[in-house]
Amino acid sequence: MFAVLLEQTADGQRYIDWLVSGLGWTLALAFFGWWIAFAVGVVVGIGRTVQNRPVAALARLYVEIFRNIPVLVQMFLWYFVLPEILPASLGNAIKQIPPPWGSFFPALVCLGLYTAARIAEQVRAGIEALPKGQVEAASALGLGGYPTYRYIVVPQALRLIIPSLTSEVMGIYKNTSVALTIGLMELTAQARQISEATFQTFTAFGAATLVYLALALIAYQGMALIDRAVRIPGTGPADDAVRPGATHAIEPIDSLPDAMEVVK
Amino acid sequence: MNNLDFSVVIQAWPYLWSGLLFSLALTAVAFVVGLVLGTCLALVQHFEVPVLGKLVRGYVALMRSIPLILVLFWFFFLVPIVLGHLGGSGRPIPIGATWTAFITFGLFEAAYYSEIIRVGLRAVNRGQFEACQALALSTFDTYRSVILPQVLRVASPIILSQTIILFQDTSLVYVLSLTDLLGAASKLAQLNGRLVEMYLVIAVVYLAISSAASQCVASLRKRYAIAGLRR
Amino acid sequence: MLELAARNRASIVTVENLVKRFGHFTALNDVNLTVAVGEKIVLCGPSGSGKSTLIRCINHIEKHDAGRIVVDGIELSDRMTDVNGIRREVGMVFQSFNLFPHLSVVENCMLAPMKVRGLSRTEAHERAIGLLSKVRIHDQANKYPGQLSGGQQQRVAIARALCMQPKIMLFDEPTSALDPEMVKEVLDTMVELAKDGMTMVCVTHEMGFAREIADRVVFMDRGCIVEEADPETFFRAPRTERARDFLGQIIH
Repeated sequence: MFAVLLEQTADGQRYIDWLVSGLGWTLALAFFGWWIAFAVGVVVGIGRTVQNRPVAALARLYVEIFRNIPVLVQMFLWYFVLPEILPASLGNAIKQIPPPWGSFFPALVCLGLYTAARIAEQVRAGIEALPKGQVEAASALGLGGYPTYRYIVVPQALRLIIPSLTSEVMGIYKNTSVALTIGLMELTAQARQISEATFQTFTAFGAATLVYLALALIAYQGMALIDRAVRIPGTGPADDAVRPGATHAIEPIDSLPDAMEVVK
Repeated sequence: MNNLDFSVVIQAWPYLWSGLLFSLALTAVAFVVGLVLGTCLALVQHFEVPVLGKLVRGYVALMRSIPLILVLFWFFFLVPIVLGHLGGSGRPIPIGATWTAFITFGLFEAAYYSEIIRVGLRAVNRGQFEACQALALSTFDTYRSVILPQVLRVASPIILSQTIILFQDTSLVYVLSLTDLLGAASKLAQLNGRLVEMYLVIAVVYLAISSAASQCVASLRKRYAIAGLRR
Repeated sequence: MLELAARNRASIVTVENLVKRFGHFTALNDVNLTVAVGEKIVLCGPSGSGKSTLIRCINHIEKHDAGRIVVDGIELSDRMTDVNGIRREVGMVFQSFNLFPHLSVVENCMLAPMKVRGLSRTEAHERAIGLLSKVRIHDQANKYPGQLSGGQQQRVAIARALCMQPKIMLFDEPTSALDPEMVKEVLDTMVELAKDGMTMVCVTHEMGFAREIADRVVFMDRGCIVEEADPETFFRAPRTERARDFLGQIIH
């Protein structure tokens, strides 16, 4: 079924090379976008919890704007609108960036800053979920505002939100496909191009879907790995909601593997 | 910097308005279809229905792992073929981008809502099930009158947040060249060349609607916390 | 033979050689118990002794592994088609109330009579208000469970169970989750119910309550019934070492 992918294209490559190149752009966008998002998100998220009113208001404004405009519209704002409203020389310089970088950079900034707003909310939720006693204990020890955040609050909050960060990782890598609207030939765009060139739509989309599924699996496993690596010994996994279907009041205690990994 | 001229937006408003109505209609239909279907999918998984439960789990995982744009492309390609087979002729029945969008968003959102509800079902206190058993309520009545109302209530802030994301996601029908709010703006921008004004204005419209809705959800969450409904 | 039949007619619950396991843990081991119509039994014993498991088996919330349970003339088993036919006649009050948080107090009481007994809304409402007045909480009928104190919630739970007009009431540590000052209002309600002639099986450590209303105290330990006696005898002169230890611990 996937044999067509090995056929020659008009430009002398094989169709599978198109897919690989698309995958490359998708991964690059997701990877670098993630670090932008994480850095900005943590800063803005902390900003939302500080006592300083203007800082908190600014952080909130950031989150409101970047979270409430569709990512596709933001993509257009960075790609079409920004060069027009900047001073003409700078705007023209941006428009001169050769493809595919002319599409890649706006997409990178767009996805990074959009995802940052979502991460900021997770960070804020993580910080607010910490027991008040932690901050009180820190001030009782004479720690100031910065050391309290740096050594007490943020390390705990980040650990707390790793499960929800997983879904943000999934989010940014799925949103990379939006970059095809500004002409970046990432994975979905390549799949569509192959479909149009060969009329083998099922094969083209099927191959792309499998790649996305594999990526999702890797992202999920990777985050689970990180979650376990940074877990504080003695704190179990949070997810042990009782299944209502089960009538056993006492579960047999053979779910030990988890506990052993904590010790490691 | 170019001179901005927002008067073009006023001229274009009726067209943008019809685009916005389409976006809202798509959101509403996807919400209703997604929530009803999503509840069914969640229950199928919850009851661990043989075979079907596994299929549903796979469907949900698949939908949550691939980009919505790719899902739109898939459905645009697959739905006519599937309908053709269902119709018995075996020949694809072209249904057009509009129907594709409605079907895709309904089925796609169902996966997301089902996940929210499935988690909600797991979070219901076991005592609630036992109380229903002790009162001799049938399984149907237990879920209809006791369990699902609680799940939907507890999950409603998350469901509504997901719906706001859904509203924003409807802009992706741009890739099917449909005339939603963004599609309308983009088509006008190509005609009159005022793309800066067009995109800025619709960005503000999206921002206004989404953040107003978020505020509503936030206040709902607060009021609900006070009402003493939480255990 | 005749005598046995007569005893069976008068008993509403018969438990014979009951065994219940959770994995490798045996929660109930060869338990025998008969409850006569109108009888009030108090089940006590250290935690983990199987007393809650026993009454949860009686209305089939837990499924037993061996032995027989006959409730109101019907034997409970996995094969039975209509377990709800029995549960209809058995009311249960839980330690953690388990009221439905999304329904008002009166709606909590109306739901099962309407859905299970087929009462009309008006009939169900009338019955609910009647029984809420009986537990003296009808003035809170339109509030939600989350707005009530623990003692009030437990009294609502009692009214909710009574609305099904059960033949027997099971109480699973009804006062253990309550603040001390609320225990009395719930016990008073239960005493009143006992005096009305309700058949009751109560898991409780409230020994004053046991003395006042119990016909029989059943002491359990490690999944077995160790001792059965009328309350006077049980408290004055427990026969077994384990019962003495237990009483020493809870009476101080």
